[in-house]
Amino acid sequence: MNRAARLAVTALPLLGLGALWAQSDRTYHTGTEWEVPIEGYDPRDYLRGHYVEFAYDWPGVFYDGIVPEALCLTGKAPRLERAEWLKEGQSCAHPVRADLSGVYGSNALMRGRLYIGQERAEALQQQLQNRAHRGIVTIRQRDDGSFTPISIRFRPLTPAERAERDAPPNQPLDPFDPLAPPAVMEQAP
Amino acid sequence: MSARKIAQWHDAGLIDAATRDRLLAHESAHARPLVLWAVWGIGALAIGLGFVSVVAANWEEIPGLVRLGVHLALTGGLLAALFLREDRLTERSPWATEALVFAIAALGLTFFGHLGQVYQTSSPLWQPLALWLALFAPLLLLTGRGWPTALAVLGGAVWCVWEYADAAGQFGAGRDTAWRVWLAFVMALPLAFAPLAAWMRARSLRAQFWLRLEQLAFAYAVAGGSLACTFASLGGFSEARPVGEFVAMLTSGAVAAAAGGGVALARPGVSGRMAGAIIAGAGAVLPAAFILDSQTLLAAQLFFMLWAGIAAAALAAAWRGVFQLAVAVIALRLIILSFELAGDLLTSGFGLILAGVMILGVAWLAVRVSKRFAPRDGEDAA
Repeated sequence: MNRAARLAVTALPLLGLGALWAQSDRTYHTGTEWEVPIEGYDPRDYLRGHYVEFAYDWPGVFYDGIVPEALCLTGKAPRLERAEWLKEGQSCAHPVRADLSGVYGSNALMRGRLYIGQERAEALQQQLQNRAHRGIVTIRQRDDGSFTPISIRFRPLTPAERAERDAPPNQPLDPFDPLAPPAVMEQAP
Repeated sequence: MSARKIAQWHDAGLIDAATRDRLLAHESAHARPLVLWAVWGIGALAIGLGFVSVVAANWEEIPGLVRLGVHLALTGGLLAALFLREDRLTERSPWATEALVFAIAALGLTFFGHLGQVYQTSSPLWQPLALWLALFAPLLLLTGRGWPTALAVLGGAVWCVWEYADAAGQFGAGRDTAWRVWLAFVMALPLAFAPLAAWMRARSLRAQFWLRLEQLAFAYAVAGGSLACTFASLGGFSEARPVGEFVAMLTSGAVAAAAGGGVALARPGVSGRMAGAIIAGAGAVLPAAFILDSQTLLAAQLFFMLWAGIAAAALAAAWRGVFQLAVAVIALRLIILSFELAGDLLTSGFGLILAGVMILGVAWLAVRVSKRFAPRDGEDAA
């Protein structure tokens, strides 16, 4: 066998993996950090090991069947104040866009995952089910709209969030709701 | 064990001393240390699986950079060992080289998962698989010596294209004809390894590796054709029967025909011609299966035609094992077909007796046919 060819096929994997590593490292460390509230969970991938899966809860964005493919973040990083739908051609200082070729495709702004160690994955899974805490994921957002979740933490619910959580489901919004108690109670004579 | 037997035969006066020595010389020259090979194989497999689970456990106590550094250094070290010591190692045991190459490929594949963990990148599985193939297939093709590396190349390619088709089906926006044709083309691409392997086999010192690679590509073609027939028997194609799906099946068939033609050209002789004919034939089954969708009996007949063709080719090319396999597959399909056509056979005592008698009859016939007509093994199997 040709020595040059052998050297080439031996070096190729090493150079390729090394280049991939360098590129991943560079991408990971660039960008602005934002803290995004999350909810939900789901574990495990067979090749890469354990992860938690979550749903982003962008403040100010309501999904109504249609999932946004791009959002504009406002606030003073890392404090995220609002996220708004980003239309085509609109200018935005801090955009995030769904990576359509990624695992979540067009749902990439709704769902995300974070790889963590086996033991921590189990602990986090329980914490995500604990309704007294709020999950917060820090993402690193870059100018081209790509972003990477980098860490996860929990904080206790604020009073407003607790009120929202404790509110009965499907609270009637209509003041003339027929099932609502009568506005004026008749006094018995 | 054979040495002890030979000594016993000599002691019993069955063979003379000269014959004994000749037998012993022959045995030691043709020794196949199967146990040793099995140990090498199991060892390599265990190491590969070990890498996967160590990486999957994702120890957070060790910083990511250190873990990645150790991983890459280990890969580099094994690559260096392979480059510097390949010839000497192969001289002692070709299976040691094989195990080394396989371990390197496994380390390389897990590196992608490791990177994903440390840098939180998640991409559809076909992307790291495709990149892994691009980086490691040249190494595997140039240094592989047996079925584990051949399986890594072809298995990796098949896994990659099926993952691609799966991801495309989930998130692909268009489901038009061009898209289906492209998917069908990609899914048939691993067959291209068949003509390459056939071409290389006579031109390489590692004939065993190329033989295995061609066999695996051959098996992919036959499995694809059989799967399409089963799919048609169950009525699995789209009910709307879009033309695009037929054109897609034709595309896969055309790739298989090209691969089969390539094998026949690359390997002149009966064996090469027959292997090529089967690969092309398995490709022709695909559009035919689409046409016969939901027609249980006709789709089953298509299946029988494919496997009868394989049996005939095996007879012509003297592949004993393949012939016996073909007979067994046909017998099994016959039995399954009888239950498909008469599902109530199992519900009455008489039907049960009939089914039992038929299964015994088919099995008896299959054993007879495969004993009576199976060819002696030729010098090379498919």
